[in-house]
Amino acid sequence: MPTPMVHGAADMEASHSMTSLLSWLMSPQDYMPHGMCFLWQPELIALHVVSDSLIALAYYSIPIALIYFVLKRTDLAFPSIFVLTGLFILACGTTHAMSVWTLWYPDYRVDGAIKAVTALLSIGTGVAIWKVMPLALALPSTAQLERANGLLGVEIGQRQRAEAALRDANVDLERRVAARTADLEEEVVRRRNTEATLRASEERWRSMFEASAVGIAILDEQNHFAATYEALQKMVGYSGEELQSLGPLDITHQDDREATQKLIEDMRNGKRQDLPTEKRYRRKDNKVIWVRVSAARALDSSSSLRGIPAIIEDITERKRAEVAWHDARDALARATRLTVMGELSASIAHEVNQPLAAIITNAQACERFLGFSPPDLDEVRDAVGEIVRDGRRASEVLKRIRAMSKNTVPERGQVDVNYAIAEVLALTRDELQRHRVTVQTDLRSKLPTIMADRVQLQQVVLNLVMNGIDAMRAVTDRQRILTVRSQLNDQGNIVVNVADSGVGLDPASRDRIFESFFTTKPEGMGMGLAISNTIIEAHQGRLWAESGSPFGAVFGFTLPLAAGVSP
Amino acid sequence: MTDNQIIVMIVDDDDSIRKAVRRLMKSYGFAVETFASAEEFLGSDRLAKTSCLILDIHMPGMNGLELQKRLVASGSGVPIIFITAFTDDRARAQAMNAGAAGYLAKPFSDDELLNCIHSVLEHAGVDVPQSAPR
Repeated sequence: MPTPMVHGAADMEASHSMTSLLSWLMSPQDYMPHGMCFLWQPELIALHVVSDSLIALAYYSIPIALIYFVLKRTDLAFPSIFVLTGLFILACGTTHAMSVWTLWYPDYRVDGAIKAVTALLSIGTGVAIWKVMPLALALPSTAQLERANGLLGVEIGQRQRAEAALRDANVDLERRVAARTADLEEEVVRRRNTEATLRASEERWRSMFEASAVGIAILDEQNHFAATYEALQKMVGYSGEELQSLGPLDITHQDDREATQKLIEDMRNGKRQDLPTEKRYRRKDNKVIWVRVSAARALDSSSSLRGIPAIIEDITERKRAEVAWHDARDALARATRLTVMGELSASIAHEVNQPLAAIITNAQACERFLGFSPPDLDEVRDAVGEIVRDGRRASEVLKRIRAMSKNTVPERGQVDVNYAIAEVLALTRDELQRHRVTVQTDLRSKLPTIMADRVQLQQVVLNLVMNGIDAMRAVTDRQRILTVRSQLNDQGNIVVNVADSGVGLDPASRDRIFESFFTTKPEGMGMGLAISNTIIEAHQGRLWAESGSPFGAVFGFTLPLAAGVSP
Repeated sequence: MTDNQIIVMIVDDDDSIRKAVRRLMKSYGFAVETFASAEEFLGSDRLAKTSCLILDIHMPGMNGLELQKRLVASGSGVPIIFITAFTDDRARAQAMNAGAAGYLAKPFSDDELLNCIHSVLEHAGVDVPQSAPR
């Protein structure tokens, strides 16, 4: 560690050697001032002084400007070149300043040293500037920059547009998100409402089960009433406990038991999925009620049938009304039939009178032939044969009349449609003749018989024949022809047609002719076709009317071979 | 006698009536011919030979009243006795006004018919057969 004393001694030594170096460098005593070379001619001295001074000033100004430029332009491409050039020019300036100095003071060593420094700096700058040259040349020109700038501007424009589009899309997206959110909120509200409705509905159903007029029961695997509600208990007159030891078969009317058993079995083994059926129950008090039972297979999670829930409705009143309706319909049909028969009475009297007249006349002839001597027994025999035949003929007419006007319950049986038609035509034969109507029949042979009410079917045919006669009343310019045809259609149904050559159907009334009390006849009741329609419908058939060709009308009806079972 | 033979013509569409009336006429000793329709009768040439025409009113085609009208119009004075199963006063009036000799409702008695025939024949001045009752 140097002591301050030692330090002081060294300082003194250094200062001494420094002074001697400086005096060597100055070495004024060794050389003559440069002014001497100009012979101290003041003009020449002044010229050099002014020139060198101005050059020096200028050379000092340039590097200062460069350094200022470098400092200000931080983005400058090659700042070191600028600095190096600045130092080089500063050094040059100093050599000129030294040229002024050496005019009077011959410090040529210092001057030389400064020139040496200047030389080094100029060489460095000279080398460096070539090194930088390719890079400097690669620097884009202003035009290039402007072009690039232009392109950049375009690109920026595009980007701005893209950004604007993106912003719009963003706004749209946000709007959609908001809308969807609102929807979802609504959905949530709706679901909540639905749930509330469902809960209310469940409550309502529960209370309906409890206080329903409709009987509800669940049948267990042993076909017993596992559960029943009050309505059913009231309906059948048994208590809930009593019903638990009973099954549907026990309370079913004996005539419906077999069918009920089969239905339940079919439900059990899956042949049927549901069971809407109408049948009779026998109440505890032995009264019979009609019920409609609707049941469905209730499947539990393992899909095996556990219980059968059933809804039981008391339809006794409805059944009673149905029966009353059918009775009323039949009574009306009978009344209508009798009315038509009444219209026919003159013709029917004629039909009976003809054979009666023949019988009486033959009998009187017999009296006379028997009075001959000898009696003409051959004539008598022939006459008696005819009397028997005519008696039968009269009897047939009466039978037909009685069959058509009998006051019995309608009943179904196997009916030969052709025979039924022929009977009606026989009954109306005289009426047709009286009105100069020619009858043509085209009855298909070997028509299968059908299950039907013969009298009611004959009523329909009778009605159509009578209508045909009426329709031809006004016809005088052409033949009055009534064509009755029976056929079997593609569906295997019997089709009966009654065609006339009458005035035809008035388009205005065509749709109404099957309505009750609609009539085009001055003395008509307007019941004939309405009743006929009802009768055919009860046989699951269809009655229709169409225009004949070239004139007249055709009424037709179908009768399915398996004609209905409706009462 | 052949020229003046009494021939009763019967026109009725009903087979039974035709046969029965024919038999009755036969029992009276009248000659009888039968026709099933007015057209059949008109188509035959038997009008000139007809002493008496027993005619039904209701028949298919031309009815009895029309046939009567045709005969009257053609100037024929053939006596006509109508037999009908209809009791129709209008038809009766029309028939009688047109000059019918009788109008009998079926069933009629033999006396009624016979009386009619007799009056027709007497009116025409024809001899009644012996076999016919008086």
